[in-house]
Amino acid sequence: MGLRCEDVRRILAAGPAGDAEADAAAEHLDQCADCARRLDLELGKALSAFPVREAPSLPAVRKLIDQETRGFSLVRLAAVAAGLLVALATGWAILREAPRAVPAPAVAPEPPKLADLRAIDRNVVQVEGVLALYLQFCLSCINTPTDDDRQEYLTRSLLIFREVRGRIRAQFERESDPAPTVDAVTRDALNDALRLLSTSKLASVSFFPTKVTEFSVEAPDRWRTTHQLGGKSWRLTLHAQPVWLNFAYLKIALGADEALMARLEETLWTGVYVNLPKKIEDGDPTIAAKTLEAVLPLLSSRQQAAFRKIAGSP
Amino acid sequence: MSIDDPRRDEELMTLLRAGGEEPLGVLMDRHGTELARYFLVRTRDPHVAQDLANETFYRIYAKAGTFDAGKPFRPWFYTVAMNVWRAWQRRRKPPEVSLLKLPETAEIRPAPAAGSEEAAAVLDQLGEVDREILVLRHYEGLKLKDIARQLGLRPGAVYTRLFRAIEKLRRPSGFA
Repeated sequence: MGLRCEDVRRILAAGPAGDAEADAAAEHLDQCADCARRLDLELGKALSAFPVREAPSLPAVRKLIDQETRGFSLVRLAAVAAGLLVALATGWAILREAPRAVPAPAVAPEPPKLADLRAIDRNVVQVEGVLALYLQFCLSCINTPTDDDRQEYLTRSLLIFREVRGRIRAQFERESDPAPTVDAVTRDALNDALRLLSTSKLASVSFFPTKVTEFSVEAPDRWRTTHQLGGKSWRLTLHAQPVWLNFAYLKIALGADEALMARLEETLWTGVYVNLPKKIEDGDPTIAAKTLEAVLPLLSSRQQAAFRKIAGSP
Repeated sequence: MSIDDPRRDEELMTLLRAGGEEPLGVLMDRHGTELARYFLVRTRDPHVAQDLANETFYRIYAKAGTFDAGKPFRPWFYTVAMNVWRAWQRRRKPPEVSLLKLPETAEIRPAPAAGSEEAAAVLDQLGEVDREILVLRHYEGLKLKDIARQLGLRPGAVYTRLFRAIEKLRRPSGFA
């Protein structure tokens, strides 16, 4: 049904009579600049009458600017102070050691074995590892994302991972009787992640399990979960990730600070981690090489040596 | 400084990029209320809307160097606003929802803040989709068919919803 401008103006005033007329009006409005302008005028008028009591305030924005500037200045001051200290220490060391200086090779500390960690750290490493793999499973094993959606999902899911991670440690640290089991904490973490995922779906990444009902570790390198997916209950068995891909373990093994961990996580999450559940299952031999390539440039020489010990040289 | 300031937005951005803070006040006078309304329609919470509007102007100030003075200000401005809104969506803690009520039906409905009953009452008449249509049309300038594609509706359905939303916003009782 082709409409004339007069018809559309009548519809703008009185509303469409039915679906067919609404479709025809929409088509006309997308093509006729004059009628579109009339619609937008009406819309603008209606919206501008909408009461806004709390408008933004310049003092509040200035406060944000000041906070940021002060933070930046402190960082700069700290950087300058650190630089000065390094320069002084280096100068002092050269003056003191120059005649008999023998360059000592940088000895990387032996990275801790998983079994040597405190129980709480071991538990956190395990639960975080499962959570990371599960979030990647949701992306690549049950959805077929477009490139844009994949990128967006990776950004969101890393944020979700970080949010849930805080609760994992808190659950283990909470003194309760009986103490929470790894299986229970993992199940809660996965459900937390699913709840957060369900609030921010993307067009091509929208199919998620709705609930994890069971979780158990079957073997040191394998775990199993039962979840609700598409109205049915499914059992999923996944292979655990290698420990040198586990963020919680890397933080301990490398003695990494928050900033370095953030860089490592983003690099691994958007690169090596994508499709990781399948890569591990397939025994993809390139994982280690790709990880080293991605991670080493971010590390100090001592940390590089430590990471090579953990991951092995390709 | 006032809305009547003769300088164009793009000129103000050039001045802001050069390091002056004064143009920020002019831009806030000019676009602040509209921006707060944009966030109010999206969040339905006046206080959150105000915070997000403040954050947007802070980002405008901090990212002035990335503004291309040869291009119009408004689309860039609302892109920044949209990024602020998305970031807020990502970092906000969703309400506790029973897992039994999951999955996708759990809509997040922030409780209206004190003093916002009037706005909340009007916005409560509009569904999530209606408010999204308002934003996509008015602030992002999308065609009806593009909105329809984005929301999985027929173009006619988008127009009908838009028409009804305008009617609801116009109702005198809504703004008494």
